[in-house]
Amino acid sequence: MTQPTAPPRILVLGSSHTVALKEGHARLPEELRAALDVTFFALGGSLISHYTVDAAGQFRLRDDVAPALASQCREQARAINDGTEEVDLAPFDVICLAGTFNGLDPMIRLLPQVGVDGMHDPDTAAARGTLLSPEALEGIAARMIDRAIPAWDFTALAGKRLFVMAPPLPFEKVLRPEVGGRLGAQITEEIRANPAYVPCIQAYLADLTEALQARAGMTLLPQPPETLSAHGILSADSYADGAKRIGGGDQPDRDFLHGNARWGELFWTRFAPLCAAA
Amino acid sequence: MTSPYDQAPPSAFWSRTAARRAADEVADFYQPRHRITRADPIATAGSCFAQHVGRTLREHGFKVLDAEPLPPIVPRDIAQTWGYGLYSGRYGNIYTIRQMRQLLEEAFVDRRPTERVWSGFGAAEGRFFDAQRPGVDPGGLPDAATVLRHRAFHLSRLRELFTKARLLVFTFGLTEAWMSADGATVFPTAPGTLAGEYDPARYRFHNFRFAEMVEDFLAVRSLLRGLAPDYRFLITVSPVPLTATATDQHVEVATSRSKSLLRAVCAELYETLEDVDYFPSYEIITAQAARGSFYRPNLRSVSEEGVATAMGAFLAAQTGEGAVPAAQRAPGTPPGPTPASDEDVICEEMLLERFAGQ
Repeated sequence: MTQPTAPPRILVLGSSHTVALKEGHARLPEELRAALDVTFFALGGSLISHYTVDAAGQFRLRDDVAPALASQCREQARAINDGTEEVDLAPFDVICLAGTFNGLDPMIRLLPQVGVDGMHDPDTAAARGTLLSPEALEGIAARMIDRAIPAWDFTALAGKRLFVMAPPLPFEKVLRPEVGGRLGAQITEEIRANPAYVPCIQAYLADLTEALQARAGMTLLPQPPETLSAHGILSADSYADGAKRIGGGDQPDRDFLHGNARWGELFWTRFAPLCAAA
Repeated sequence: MTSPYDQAPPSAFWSRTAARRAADEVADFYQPRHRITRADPIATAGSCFAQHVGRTLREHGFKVLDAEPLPPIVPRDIAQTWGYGLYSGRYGNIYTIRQMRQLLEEAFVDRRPTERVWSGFGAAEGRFFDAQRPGVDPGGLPDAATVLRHRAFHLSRLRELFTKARLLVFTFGLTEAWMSADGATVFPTAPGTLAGEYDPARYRFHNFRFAEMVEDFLAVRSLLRGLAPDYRFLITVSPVPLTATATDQHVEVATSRSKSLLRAVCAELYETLEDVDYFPSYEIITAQAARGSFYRPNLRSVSEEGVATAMGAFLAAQTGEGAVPAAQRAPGTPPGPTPASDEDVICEEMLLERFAGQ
């Protein structure tokens, strides 16, 4: 176990969103970095879903993964994580999942594509072809929150603190036609025409936060308010400019999902005090 | 000496096919009367098994219309809980031909069911349901007016759907149904199963006869070909036995009566109407050569292998893609489309099972 005077050992485990945290960590002042003993382990989002936490507390590839896919996972794991294929979770005091679930933006995407009774006028519902009752919307949201909670079983990790870093809400550039295309136009129209849009998304995020804590024992680290755009449900582009890809190189300009080093740096300034208290 | 059987192909002789073929060797069961292209706008409807047909067509790039779509951000199984993505409209399962006729007449000639809203019970006490599709809003709606508003929206979507479609894929499921006492309205479920309350003074049981079903289908056909004279029809019979019968016969005898008549209706329609094609999914699943292997242990639900074999045969005949005999497949590889069983479909009729006791 960690000695009382030693910095807390932190594992950041995640998908492509881990890159921003790694870059942000590198930009921290020396004294802050020294106060945190951080290890990163990342894999592309579609690959990390093939991992499990076993009874011995190892984060490793599941046994039932097909050989070709398993090779791909191992190869990417080694390439990104300095030759490491799996992680022993035992030595860590704090585990933070970064972007390993896809729970934040479904409601942002769903609402502009359907009609909801009492939220959209009949013409809008007719144009979109679907009329949901508020009860159905609520039921669908609840089921999607269930799906958003990471499936990994951390029960073997008693005594550790578990956090989930909220990946950034889609960046505001999604509204630009050359980036977001039809989705951007739909969001723009929904922001303009539906006053219930933003409150509905905020309520969904609050429910998700509560569910993560109640059902998975995880604390959701919310997106810092200053990173939100004027609409309150998208992220400011200044936190995306120059974002890097998990395998190296820049994210393409049309990417509206990944934060940059500035995003990561801000995350650490908020997260570090929580880790120190762990 | 000659015989009319001299030139018959091997498939005409039981001893050369059925007695020695493997369960999934069904490539010559279906010779399509009409080719379905990936440009043909298709509407799907029918009993639970029809969900497999629609899904297979969609997964293989056919233009299955969806008049009430939920965006793909909502996972399919979640959407299906609220009746989305099961068929081309959010009408739920259509078990009888009369129900289909009634739906189209309601949408296009404003012939309204006599009873349109059912009350909930148990956990849904105080909630209200569309009596023609009680399964699509599992928790019901807050009042009758909301139910009727959602139904009006649904019907407006169906008018667009059936006006756009040129092929109706329709799986016949049941002959047994519950109707209003005056016989004017048929319901998809018995009152008191999902919603509503059974009252013998208000509802009666009806077991459709051959002539009634032919007449109902002809009314469906006439209405749709009135919208577009080139409308075509692909009909099938669900191989899923009855969960329960309301007759005084044994459920297996009642199943045989029901499926036999539905199959006979298909024969009558296929043999008399050039725009009707028949796909023998019923025969593929129930064949003696399958020895019951296409059913799950309850002998009612169709297994993944059965669904894949039937739909593989359909694809192979229509497109040249799909079915691969077991001997040529790698172990564990399905013969055709994505494996799915009756466990993956939404089927209100199965709720009758809860009345079975132990």
